[in-house]
Amino acid sequence: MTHDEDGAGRYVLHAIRSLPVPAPPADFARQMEILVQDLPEDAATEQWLLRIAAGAGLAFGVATVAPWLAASMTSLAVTLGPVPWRLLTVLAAGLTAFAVVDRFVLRHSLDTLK
Amino acid sequence: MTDDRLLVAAVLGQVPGAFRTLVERFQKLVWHLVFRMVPDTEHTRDLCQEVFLRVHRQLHQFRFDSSLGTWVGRIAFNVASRHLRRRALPMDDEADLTEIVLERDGREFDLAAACADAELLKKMHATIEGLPPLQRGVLVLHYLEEKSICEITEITGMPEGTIKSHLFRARARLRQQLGTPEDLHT
Repeated sequence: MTHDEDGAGRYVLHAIRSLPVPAPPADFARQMEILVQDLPEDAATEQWLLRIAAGAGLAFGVATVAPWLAASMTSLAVTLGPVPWRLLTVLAAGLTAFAVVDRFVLRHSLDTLK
Repeated sequence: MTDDRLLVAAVLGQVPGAFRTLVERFQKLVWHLVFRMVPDTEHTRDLCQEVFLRVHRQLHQFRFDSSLGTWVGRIAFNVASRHLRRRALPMDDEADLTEIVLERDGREFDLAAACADAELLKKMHATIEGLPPLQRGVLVLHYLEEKSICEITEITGMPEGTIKSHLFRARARLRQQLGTPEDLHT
């Protein structure tokens, strides 16, 4: 007879098996299902693969288009003739100045008025 | 095991109701284990939720090396153990096994009288609650969930000898509570 087959051993097993154990709430499984559905999908790997694919596509596109673009720009320069760089520079500077005034000065004034 | 494969495939395939079925199948095991290791009803629900969220997140990594129940049990054990560690609660104590062994005796025990004694049963339950979390968990797995020593080894990641030792020490402590047969009749 082993230690646990005697009366005391059997009573110990009876005590363990009669332990009161609180049951999980009746709707626990349903709530877990809802919780899992609401979780954002963990797609970190897929997102990285997508980024790598997008980068590779972009590099391939640039490599394909670059020779054609260079040739087109050369022919365009020939077609247009000499470019008025001074006029273009003044126009760009003017537009930048307007943008700065619109973005910072006018908005700051409006915020002060509020 | 085939049933496990079907269920896992259904959950991974996002079949409606599949995850609910999985939770219903293993919630008793998870609840038993977590509640016995962390006897704090306030945390039991949160920890059980965490267990099933992990199950859902890691299910694609399940390789069917064990039964699904054993795998879920391992996650539950790890979640409960981590909770105890975070709160700096001891998982086990260093009881002197020799002392417990020496207190074993071969005297008669009146099983019928003991079974009729409600107070004694209450005292035994209190003793079980007072056992270290690891011993409570192992007791639950072996006697309430009827897991084999081998399965408990997989769930806890502890060697077979350690599991047997924990079971023996837990039972020995409970036997100590029974006292002598004379005590039972007085």
